[in-house]
Amino acid sequence: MPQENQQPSRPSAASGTVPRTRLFAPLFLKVFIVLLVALTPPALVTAAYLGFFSSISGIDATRWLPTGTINVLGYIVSAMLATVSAAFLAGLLLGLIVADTLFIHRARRVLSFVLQIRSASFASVPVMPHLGHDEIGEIGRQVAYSSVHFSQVGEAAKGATEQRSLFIMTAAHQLRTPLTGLIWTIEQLQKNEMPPEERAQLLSAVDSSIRRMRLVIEHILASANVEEGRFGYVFEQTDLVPVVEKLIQEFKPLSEKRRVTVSFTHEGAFPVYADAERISLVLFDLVSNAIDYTPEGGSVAVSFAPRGDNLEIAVADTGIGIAASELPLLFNKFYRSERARHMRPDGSGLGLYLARIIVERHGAELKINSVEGKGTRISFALHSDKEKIPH
Amino acid sequence: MATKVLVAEDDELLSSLLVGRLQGAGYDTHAAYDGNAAIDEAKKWQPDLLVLDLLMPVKSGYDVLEAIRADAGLAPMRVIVVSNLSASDDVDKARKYGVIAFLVKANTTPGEITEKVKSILG
Repeated sequence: MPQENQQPSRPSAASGTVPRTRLFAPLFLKVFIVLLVALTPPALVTAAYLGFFSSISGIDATRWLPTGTINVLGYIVSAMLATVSAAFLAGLLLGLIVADTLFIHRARRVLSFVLQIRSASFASVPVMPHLGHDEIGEIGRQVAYSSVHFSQVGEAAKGATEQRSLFIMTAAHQLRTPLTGLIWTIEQLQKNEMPPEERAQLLSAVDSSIRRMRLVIEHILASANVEEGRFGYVFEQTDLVPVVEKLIQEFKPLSEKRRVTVSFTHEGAFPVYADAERISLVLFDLVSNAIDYTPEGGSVAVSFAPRGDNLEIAVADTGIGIAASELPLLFNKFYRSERARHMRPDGSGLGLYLARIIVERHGAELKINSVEGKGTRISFALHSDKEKIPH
Repeated sequence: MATKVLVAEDDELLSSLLVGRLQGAGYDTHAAYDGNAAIDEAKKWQPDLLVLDLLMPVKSGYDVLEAIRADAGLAPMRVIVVSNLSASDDVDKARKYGVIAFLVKANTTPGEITEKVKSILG
């Protein structure tokens, strides 16, 4: 069987264009051929009887044709009428044979192809046979293209549902962890007798559980808003030095507990055009990750370095590092490196995803350098020029 | 000799609260903060009951269950899972290792876990 093509070219859903084959042999031409074939025998016979051929070529065609009357099934009829009728029937038969080849056979082939697609519930398209260059073939091709489109839409819808479920499960799990801390601590606090130091420790635990919950909620809301296109930004000239100083102060209890040194170096105020709150979330996530994945005795260094009109912000650690093969995936939603999952199984995989989105909105790019077992450095450059912020 | 309970939980706060409660109830209690430490402690200390979290660093709770059930000396050890994982897959997987109870951390308290331990160990 001749193969027109092995697989119909996949129409791009985004382009909105519908591929269409040029119709080299449209149906009206074929109808004309069938009519021509059907009408030729009676026309020729009639022309012969009327002496058309003898007048133009001198051949008397009636010599081969019966004349007078003939007996047909016991009836005496005009030989001319019987012969013209026979030629008409012969023409009809020939017309049917040609119509079968040109229409019926091909329509069946297209129907069988469409049924194959249907039997696969439009989920896949079988190899497209030669469907011809007329409207019948075009119907087959358009059904094939439509089913490709349906299957793509179906896959996308399925993927979106799975992503949403994963998001809800991750969010719920992330909230459960600090909620547990809260419930368990409060149960302990309800006991009447307790040394003041223990009570203070437990209250501090309540505080950190609430902070963690607040951060989880922040991440969930931000992720949901990003997807809905409702993640607003408030850009203004801002100096981020106090933001980082406050952040490091907030991380002090955690960094001391983990025995990780956190430092901050800068060359004074360098106002950039940014959304301070969003950048603060990015820095929170980067520093939080750096502390989380740096073993005891290690260090985390936050630095601000002017680079022309830009301010390069970097967070470098002496932590576990990330495998080179995982670097391209690191900023994907929910992605967590193998080492990260091994060291801290309880993460959302949302922090770096959000960081990427926020930094990109500032017209910058998150750059990452990492060596397994040695450490990771993540940096991005914020602009002081308002014009460099994408609109 | 007091009955021995090993608490395998990576969150130090949760671990200390639960260990405190169990000790208050008269159990000899040790804590392990990751999967590997839990396996080592189980082999060394031979507890009567293991209270096991599932999401832990280095080795997961499932890895701990696998190691325990594969070790002839430890296989009969009674285990209850206390985890914030609660999908039916997780529960079924843990049940296959013969855990006695599966408690969802956020839906229970150290007091309730201690009651559960009492009902198992007496």
